[in-house]
Amino acid sequence: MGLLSDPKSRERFSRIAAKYNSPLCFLAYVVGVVWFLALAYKPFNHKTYFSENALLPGLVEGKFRTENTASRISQAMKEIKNVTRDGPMPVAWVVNQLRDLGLDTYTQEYIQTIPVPSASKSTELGKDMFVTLNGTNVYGILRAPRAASTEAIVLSAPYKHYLTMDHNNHAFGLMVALAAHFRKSSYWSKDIIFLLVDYDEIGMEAWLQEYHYTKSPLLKSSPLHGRSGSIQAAINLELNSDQVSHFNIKLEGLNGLLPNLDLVNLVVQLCNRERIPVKLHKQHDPFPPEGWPAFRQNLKTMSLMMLHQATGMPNGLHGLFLRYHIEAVTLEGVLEPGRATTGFYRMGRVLEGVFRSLNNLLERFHQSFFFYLLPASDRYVSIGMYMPPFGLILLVTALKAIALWISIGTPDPDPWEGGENVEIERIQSGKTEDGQGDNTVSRRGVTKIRTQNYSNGDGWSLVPVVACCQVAGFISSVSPMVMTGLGHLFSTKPYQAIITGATGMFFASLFMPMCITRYRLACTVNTLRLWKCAALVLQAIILAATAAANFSLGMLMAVTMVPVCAMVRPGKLRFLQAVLMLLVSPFGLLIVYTGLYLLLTETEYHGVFPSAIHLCTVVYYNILSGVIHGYVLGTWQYSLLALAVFPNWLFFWCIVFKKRDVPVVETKEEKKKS
Amino acid sequence: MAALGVMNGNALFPVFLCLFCCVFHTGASTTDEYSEELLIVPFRSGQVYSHFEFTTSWDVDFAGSEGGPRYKLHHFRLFPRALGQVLTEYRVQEMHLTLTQGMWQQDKWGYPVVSAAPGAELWVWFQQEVADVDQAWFGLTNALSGLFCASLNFIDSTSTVTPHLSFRPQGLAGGVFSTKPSHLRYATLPRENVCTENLTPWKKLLPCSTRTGLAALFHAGQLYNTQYSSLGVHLRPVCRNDSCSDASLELRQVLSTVADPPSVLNGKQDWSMKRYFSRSLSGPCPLAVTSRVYVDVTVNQTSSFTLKPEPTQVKMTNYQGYSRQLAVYDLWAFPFHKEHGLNVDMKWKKEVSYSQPSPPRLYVHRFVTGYGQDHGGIMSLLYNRHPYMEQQVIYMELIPWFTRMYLHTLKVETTEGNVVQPLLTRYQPGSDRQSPYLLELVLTLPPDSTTRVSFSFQRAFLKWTEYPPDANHGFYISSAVLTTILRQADNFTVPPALGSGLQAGLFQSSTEYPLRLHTETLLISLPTPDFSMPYNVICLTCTVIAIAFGSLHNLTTRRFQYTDLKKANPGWRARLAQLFGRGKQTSPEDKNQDPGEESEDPGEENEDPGEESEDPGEESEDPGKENDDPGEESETSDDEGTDNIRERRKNIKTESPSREDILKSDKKDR
Repeated sequence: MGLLSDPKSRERFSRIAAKYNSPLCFLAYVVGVVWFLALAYKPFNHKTYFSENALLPGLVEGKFRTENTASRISQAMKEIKNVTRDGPMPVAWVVNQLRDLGLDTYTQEYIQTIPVPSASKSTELGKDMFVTLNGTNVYGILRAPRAASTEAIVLSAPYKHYLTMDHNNHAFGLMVALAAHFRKSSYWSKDIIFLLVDYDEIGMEAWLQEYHYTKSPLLKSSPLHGRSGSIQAAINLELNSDQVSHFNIKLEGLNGLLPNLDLVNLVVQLCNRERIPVKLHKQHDPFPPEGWPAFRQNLKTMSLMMLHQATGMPNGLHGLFLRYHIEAVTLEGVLEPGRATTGFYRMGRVLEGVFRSLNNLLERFHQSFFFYLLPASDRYVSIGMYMPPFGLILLVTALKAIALWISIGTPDPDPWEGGENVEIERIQSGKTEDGQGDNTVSRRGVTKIRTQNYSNGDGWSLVPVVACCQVAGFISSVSPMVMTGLGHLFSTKPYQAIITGATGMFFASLFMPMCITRYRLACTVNTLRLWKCAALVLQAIILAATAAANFSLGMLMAVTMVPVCAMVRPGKLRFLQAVLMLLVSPFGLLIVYTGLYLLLTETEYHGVFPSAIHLCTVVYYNILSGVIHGYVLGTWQYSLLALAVFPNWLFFWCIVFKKRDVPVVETKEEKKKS
Repeated sequence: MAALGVMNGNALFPVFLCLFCCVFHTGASTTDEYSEELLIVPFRSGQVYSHFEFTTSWDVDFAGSEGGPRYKLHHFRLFPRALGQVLTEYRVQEMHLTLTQGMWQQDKWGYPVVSAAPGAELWVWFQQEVADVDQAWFGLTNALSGLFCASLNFIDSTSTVTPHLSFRPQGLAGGVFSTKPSHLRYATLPRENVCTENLTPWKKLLPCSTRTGLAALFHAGQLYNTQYSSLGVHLRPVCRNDSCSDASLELRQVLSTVADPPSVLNGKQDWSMKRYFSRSLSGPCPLAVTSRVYVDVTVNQTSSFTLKPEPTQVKMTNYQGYSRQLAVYDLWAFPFHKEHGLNVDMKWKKEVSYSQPSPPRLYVHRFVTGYGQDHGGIMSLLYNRHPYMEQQVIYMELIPWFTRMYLHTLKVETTEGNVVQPLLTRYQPGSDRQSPYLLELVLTLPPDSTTRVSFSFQRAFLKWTEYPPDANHGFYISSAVLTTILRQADNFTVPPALGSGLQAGLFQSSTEYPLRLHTETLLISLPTPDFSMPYNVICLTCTVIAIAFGSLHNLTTRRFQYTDLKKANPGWRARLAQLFGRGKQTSPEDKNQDPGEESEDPGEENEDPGEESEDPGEESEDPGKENDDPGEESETSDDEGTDNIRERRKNIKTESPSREDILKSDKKDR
């Protein structure tokens, strides 16, 4: 409390921060990391609970009995697919299925321009340069008899997955069966929209954009002729087969957004009631729930969730709803061989329960958590629990910055930071005492003398460095598109051009310290201290801001970048420092964490070389999708890395390679004497 | 109308005579008439529309007195007394009240007989002589609220407007009935839930109640288990005869429902009175002049159903090239003594096959655009599907004050991007917590086009007491209203006509058909604080205030001064005690001055040995106090750095300014 008013305690604080800096930093980091990892252990996290009383999932009595419709429709759709040989979606047939149930059925056509030059070289330049996708979404609205179409719930399913080419005909079958069942009931107070999406995320985005009439220049779509009210929640359904062994629940959405925990609880609860096992990231809940193996399992689940969330890419169609403040999850039915399976009947009952509970909602989801991590399907770590360890890790950066700030003005070039400044201070104050012989010299006077005697860091020298780094960041943020444009001229493949653009600037800017050294800058120890202090402050701000928006990204960056960046100092052990710095560069982080992800998910190990190649390909696709998603879906992870994290990192990189000049302090004093 | 005007005599005697005559007249030979009608229309989309209409017309004398009410109602016979007295009291000339659940789907069902906004909608023309319209409106809404068990009493200035273009009188409006535009009041309550508690008082207004006649079909459990149901009470002055030399007061009570048989009956479209009203008709209301059931069998020409029992007659009507076939059951002529009541039964030969019916020539959709809790927009799509005719429409939008509408963002254009210039724009800006925004546009919709009317608004941040208990549910914006006159009647269920009852509309031909359409109500979410966490908020705010205020207060109210640290240096035990908040050693002067300050200022140590003697209680707490100075030195001397500092540096001591004299004495000591 007294920090502001009591200069004594303030001084004491800064003295402690400076004197015991390294141990404090080490302690803060270790405690932070251990604390955070411990959160995955059962006694340190909490059991999930329903915060929204209106959901009443226990009161729903399942009456779903149209599972035969589900099998019939999914079989019919499969046959159509076989006939058309994976052609476009059979729109007319889908429309008929929904219309036959008496739903208000509409279609929406769209054309998405992906700002990637088409692989097949078109002769005309200009518009045709880009890849375009067109598709048709079909949706049917079941109008609620109890309300004036003011609210709606969505049940969506992708027509098929374009990456894996898996068909989703079972999901459509179940969807139609549910629609047939729901139509018989008169208790609906919210419209239910059944939506079959063409082309995964792009189709979903097209529909949502048109529904909310938020236009993007790259996505053109025909207007929706039928709408309902404000969408309260959405469930996305993916089924690999008509018999599933468990549901894999996908939560992570666009830019690391998560659905309200109540919705997740609801789904988990109803699956449990129908005895369908639930998994998160294909990880089962540990049994017994306590003990070392359980902790490892929980930690694995939580790490996978964080790794997914950090990418900022939705891992299902539900992820796109979240931007519009519509709570949504994806239920992926997975058939695991050798396990007990369930058919449409129980899956239908789960979904019926979910929809009837959502129908009970009186207000939008607002009660439970929006920021959380799940170590198991029934345990959660809330924002209040995971932020303190993150804060401890960031404290390292802050402490280092404070120590450096205090140490600015130390004449001796060698003690780089902290510790000895106390003595200097003492000497200075002694000097003033001697010189003026008065006991009431103001403290300000002391500092003034200090600044005169010893050169503080040259603040202006920061400007060119920071500017250079930011320019490099800006170039790397725009270079993928520039390179694709240029690559078109040199007839390189567009994807290669994107990769070149994204990574080229990174590798080019590794040589920046050389340019900076050549440029004559005042580079006393103090200047470098000031540089690093500024870099650390900037880093703390970037990490804190990132963690507020996408916690996992912030945390993963902090865990690796903070210790390395805190240790960096010009001169000594340059090679080792360089290696470490490269490891925590945005590019290095991507490799490290992709490696970690593969380590956690891949069960088989094929030897060093094939694994390395596999890693490289995954990294390649990650960069590619990061860049393209940024343009198509509006994820900001690539921009964040390019515009904020990368320049900051480059700043540190420059500090590592900066040569220290002769301290200016001496020369100034000499001048004075002369 | 002119004849009525003349009746306001100018000489005293004729007035008296007139009044006498009137009283005599009403007492003796006032005639009133009651008729009940039911129209059943099976839609192509599978739903069945049942529209009940109960009309009471009363030949009231509208002469009125100078400055007094235009009519006085006495000696009620068929006209409901409860309503009549309210209408007389507040001098209502024309009143339209609808209570609706669900939304009429124009693109599937065409146009309803009476269009109604979801929720409650009330619009009233007051008589010209009413001086304080707002007062009368306030009274009327409260009276109707009690009468119909609806929350109409929540209508206040924030939801009431006076549209100039959209709601013209539907009854007579000339002569004695001429009125001022300012005498109209319009309000909606889009959130009003309509159910059986509104139906019960409504059906009590009927002469036969629900004991017999068509109203016997009202079974609340069934009526509200439908896709759409709407109650209405409409009052207006109408012509008494064809020459319109005299006027009478007409009260229409309407009830419409749209049932959805396929959803209940395993996909079958069959419909019967017994199934959907859970009873059949036992006879007409004895007080009714006409009691008829019409069934629209036009659809029967293409997709067939059998209608049982045989209708009294089948009538063909034809307006503007659009023909319609109606089966009519006249309840007065129906042989109830032979049959066990009348149970109109439609049996479809095939199971229902849904076709997307072609939407009507003119319809409208409205929705909210954008996302987030800061700004938003509203867009209406006005469809004119006529291949070659332009259509002039009046579009009215009533926006509550908490969605602050920006007129400069108003855009009217077709989907092709052609700007449609409004012929007239009437805009009445709202003000916070006072009045809503009102926008009326007169537009010409190009043929075969979709016109977009859009504007954006800012969401207001309400005061915390203004949020309803379910703040996160959202806030409703009432329907926009589209008013126009159509030249063709083909999308009307019953074309509107001047005469009373359904019969007039069904069997009279006209060239102009006035139409009113209501759009969807909208649900928007306003920025809502987290009400579930007041405790957290209080804790957080208090902590922040405590930290900031405490520090700043200390900083600004204290005086800083240098003291010799060597002298002022306390012993380590004292420090320890200080650390645990027990540093109670203060100078005697301090004690005298302000004993309460001591704990706040623990840094102030005094080495005066006399202190212990003054305060013996301290001794036990801090026994090593006397010899603390040398002991302390020896203890800390191993740390040279700190020691040096202590020797050389001045320390700042803090004092509160009220103790200047003490400070002086301190200095003297040094």
